[in-house]
Amino acid sequence: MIKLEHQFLFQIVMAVGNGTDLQPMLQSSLSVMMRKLGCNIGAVVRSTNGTLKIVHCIPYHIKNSKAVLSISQHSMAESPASRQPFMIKTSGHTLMAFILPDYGMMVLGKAGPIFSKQVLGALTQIADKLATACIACEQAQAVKEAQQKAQLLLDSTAEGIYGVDASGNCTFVNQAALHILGYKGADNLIGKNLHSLIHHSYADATPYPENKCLIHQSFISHEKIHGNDEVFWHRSGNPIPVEYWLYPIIHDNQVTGAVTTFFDISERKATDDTIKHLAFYDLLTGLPNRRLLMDRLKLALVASKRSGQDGALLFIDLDNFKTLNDTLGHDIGDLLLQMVAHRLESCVRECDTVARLGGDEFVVMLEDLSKKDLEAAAQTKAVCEKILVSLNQPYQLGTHEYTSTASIGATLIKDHQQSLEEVLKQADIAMYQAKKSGRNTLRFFDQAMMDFINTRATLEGNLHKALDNHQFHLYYQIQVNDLHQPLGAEALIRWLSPEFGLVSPDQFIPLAEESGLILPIGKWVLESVCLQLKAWEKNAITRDLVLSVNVSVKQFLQDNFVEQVRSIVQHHAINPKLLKLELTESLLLESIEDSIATMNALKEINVQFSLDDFGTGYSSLQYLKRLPLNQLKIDQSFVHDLATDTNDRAIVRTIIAMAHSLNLSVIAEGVETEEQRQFLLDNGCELYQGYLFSKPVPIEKFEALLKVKLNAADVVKKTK
Amino acid sequence: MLNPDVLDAIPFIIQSEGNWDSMRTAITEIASTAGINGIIALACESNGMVPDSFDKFLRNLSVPIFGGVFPKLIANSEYLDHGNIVLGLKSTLDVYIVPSLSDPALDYDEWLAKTIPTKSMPEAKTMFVLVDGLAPRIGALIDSLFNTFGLQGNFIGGGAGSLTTQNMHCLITAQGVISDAAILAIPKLHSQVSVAHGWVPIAGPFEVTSSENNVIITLDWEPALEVYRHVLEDRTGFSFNFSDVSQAYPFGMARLNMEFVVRDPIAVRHDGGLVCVGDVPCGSLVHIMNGNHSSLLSASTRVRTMVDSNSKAASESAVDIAMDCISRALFLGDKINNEIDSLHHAPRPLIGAFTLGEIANSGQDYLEFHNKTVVIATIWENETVQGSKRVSSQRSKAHLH
Repeated sequence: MIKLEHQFLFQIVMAVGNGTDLQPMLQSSLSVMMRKLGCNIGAVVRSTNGTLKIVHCIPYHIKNSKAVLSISQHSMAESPASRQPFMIKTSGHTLMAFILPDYGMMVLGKAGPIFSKQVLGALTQIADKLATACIACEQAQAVKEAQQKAQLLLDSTAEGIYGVDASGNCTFVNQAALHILGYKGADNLIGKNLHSLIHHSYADATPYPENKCLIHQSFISHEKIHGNDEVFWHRSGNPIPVEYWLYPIIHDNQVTGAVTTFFDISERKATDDTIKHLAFYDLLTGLPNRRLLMDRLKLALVASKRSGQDGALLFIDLDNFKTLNDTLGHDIGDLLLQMVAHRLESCVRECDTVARLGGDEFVVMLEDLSKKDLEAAAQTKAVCEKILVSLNQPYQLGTHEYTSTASIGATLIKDHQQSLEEVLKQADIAMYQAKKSGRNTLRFFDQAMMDFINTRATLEGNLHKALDNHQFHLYYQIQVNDLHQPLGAEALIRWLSPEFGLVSPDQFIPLAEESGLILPIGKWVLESVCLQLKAWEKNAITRDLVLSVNVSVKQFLQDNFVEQVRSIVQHHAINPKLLKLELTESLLLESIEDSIATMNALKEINVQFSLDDFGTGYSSLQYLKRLPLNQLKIDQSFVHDLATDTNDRAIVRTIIAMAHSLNLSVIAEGVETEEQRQFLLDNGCELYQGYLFSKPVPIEKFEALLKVKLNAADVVKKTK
Repeated sequence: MLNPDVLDAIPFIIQSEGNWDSMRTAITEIASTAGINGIIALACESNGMVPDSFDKFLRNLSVPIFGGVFPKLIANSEYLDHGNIVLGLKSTLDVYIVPSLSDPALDYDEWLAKTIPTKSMPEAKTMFVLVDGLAPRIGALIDSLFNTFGLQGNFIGGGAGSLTTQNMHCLITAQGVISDAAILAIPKLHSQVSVAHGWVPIAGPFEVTSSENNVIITLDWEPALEVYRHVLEDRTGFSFNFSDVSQAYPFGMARLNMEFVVRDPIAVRHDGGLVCVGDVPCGSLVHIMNGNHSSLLSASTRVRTMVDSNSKAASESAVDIAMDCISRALFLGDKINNEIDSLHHAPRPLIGAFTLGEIANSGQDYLEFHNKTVVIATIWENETVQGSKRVSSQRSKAHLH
């Protein structure tokens, strides 16, 4: 029996007090004791400030047992220091109370004979162990509850809060942080490196190295950090703009971790954006307002000064808008303004600005126009006309169909000394002029500009009829050799307008280029030249003369240009060697490979090529040698200052040398003085064109000139 | 036949020959008896498969019912290999079915707390506990019953099922005849319970150093079979044969200053583990026990004496209910009639069953699942007052050594 007792007691000692959760530990401990010792009651009573409470019992229904509480009370009052169990015996049943030091009492009930002294003594010691375990469990519970309270505190705030250790690994995180970052449970973050999970990249997705991270810097500086211009990364991969504060935890001058609190400031950012939008944009139309327009205008003036390119400011006012508002109401008026805004935006480029100043006043700012004022004005006019056409289209305003017109005042942004206010004022004045002129029209602030625009518009209108009305004529400027012998001429077009008189090519060729009229005009020139060559075939004086024709870019780049030339040559049955096409460097550079192919095709039918204005472009020698040229033509700008400009002389020498080395003939244009001619001759250029020999003249005068020149040449020849 | 002899007697019908049809007839008759509010039904395994119609009959029964199918039944001084016993209760009867004894996830403490009103037991004083005798978690259920109801009343019951150890539907409930379950039946009856077995320790204690529920794997860190073999070969001098000797040498789980709880080893597992009827927790101290016809019969006489001495308050209408282990019947052979004779206290009716394990509670001790043990309970409905002392619901126990 003693052996059995020892074994039971050993097993009980081993089993009692295992675990850190109070209730399961007591259940297990009491159950083992009761089974091994044959008890029918087991209870643990907690004593707190004289109050007794059964914290666990088997069977469960004795949780309020007066007998258990009573024996505990008696036992404590009797002699808590003696450690002897207090026992109450009833018929066949004994209750025993053992002191649990610093905790309370353990009560066991048993039927039949009571335990031996050895067992009672052992149970006293077992009670010590159980008491220690109970206190440990309570402490563990207190710690757990403290943690729960702390967690509750953390979770009760809308602010995201997390902690990291010195390695940046998460030590705790609250619910708000999990919610903001898109994680369901703290287990997904705790123990993991938070920089790599939530702070790995900047807002633009470029990597954010951990050693550059502000949080990391705080570990070095030991100072708290405030950031409000960074993003944390949501679990889904989306950036979250945050404002955060980081507080390093410092022990013994070492950072052992940090606590970060943060807010998702997406809404604040959105609000800021809205406020900014309200400050700079018109609420009704969404267009930039006066403030933003002024800002952009300021930038445009700076950009124009830097690039030299003009801009333009258009003041647009809807005609009779007030009447619409008064008759159909402001809602309809607002609807019209919105539609006008939309139409204006569709008329301009991305780089331009459409703004609403208020009421029915809109402003369009055009940028990156031509460096030449007149061209810029033309571009501006084109945009204005587009706007007028667009705004003139009917509007469907609810159930009402409405037609509106607008008046536009324009001014160029070209004088870089202009102030913003001046530019705006000019456009405003121009707009009132447009209104006075009967509305639905455009007015430029500058009268000369207005005149030019008007003239140009008339010219363009007449140009369309000029070809049909045979108003174009060819003038011929003679080309001679060193013996003054005529070798040919350059055919130059002239427009003799009944309205404007003789119009310079500088005026109408750009218009023809813009309108596409250059193609039929170019074809007419070719036809006319070939007709002339054919006419000259019968005369011994003229049959060997070569005629040069300028070819425009559009003309040359036509898909069927080769076929066109071949057809004309064949149609007139001329000697193609007498037809020389003058091409400019810039033309060739438009598409160098296509140009070479076109020239080679024409070369097959023996058409000649001269490179016009040579020296003014940026021809690569590499391309030059691939071009099937016959001649280089020295630009008149180099010839003009030969007498005074050593640089021009050097250039001319180089061009001549280059032509010789490429086995090309070389002709100088713009030769006006004997001195120039002599210089050219001295340096190997033996072909000339210029006023020294003749200005361009009509065919009748040219043919007369030929005879004069031939006689003169004879004189020269004999003299030599 | 219905016992008509005693006025206010608990009515019962004993069918020494019978089947499920006759059981239905008996139940119908008892149920139709005036004042009957509950039925206990015991059937012999020889009734065979339960027909669907019987399950349907049970489901349509308007009176609460519980019972079981056992290898044999006890009727007065005889045992029945065939037949049925149906007992009517006038007291109210609450019957609860524990849904599974094999689901390891079922927390019986929680289930009991949720299912059975806590005040049921103080009013009732007696709980019948019938279990599927071959289900695996009987021990866990018994522990929870004690933890929950403890000392509030008496418990009596046992394991139903087949001697062939084949799983069968063996619990009679209002849902039908079911298996893998337990019945907790609470009538408002008074009772006295006595338990005895007659087995004595011959070797031990041995510590169960490894076990799995009802399988002892090692004793004192050695294979259980080898320890068992060594002890028995030393004692008998014969070469060990498990099936020859195991009936006479059960294990006894020791408790300090208390009766052993017997565990019957019934088979050897492939790994040498000894399969017992009922759990043997790891850490238990067990002895190897032995008994003979005389010691076992002596126990049955003593259990009768003990229950009689404590049930003087029982009315004349009291009935004795016996739960006797089937392995005692096998061990005693013809002498089982002597045990039944000892248990029968004529003219008080004795009904009962030979069970696969017995359940009894002292009312003062831990509730236990026993083997090779005889349990007797005297139950009665109306309290008789002797002097000023209420003596109902006490429990006595035969200490045999």
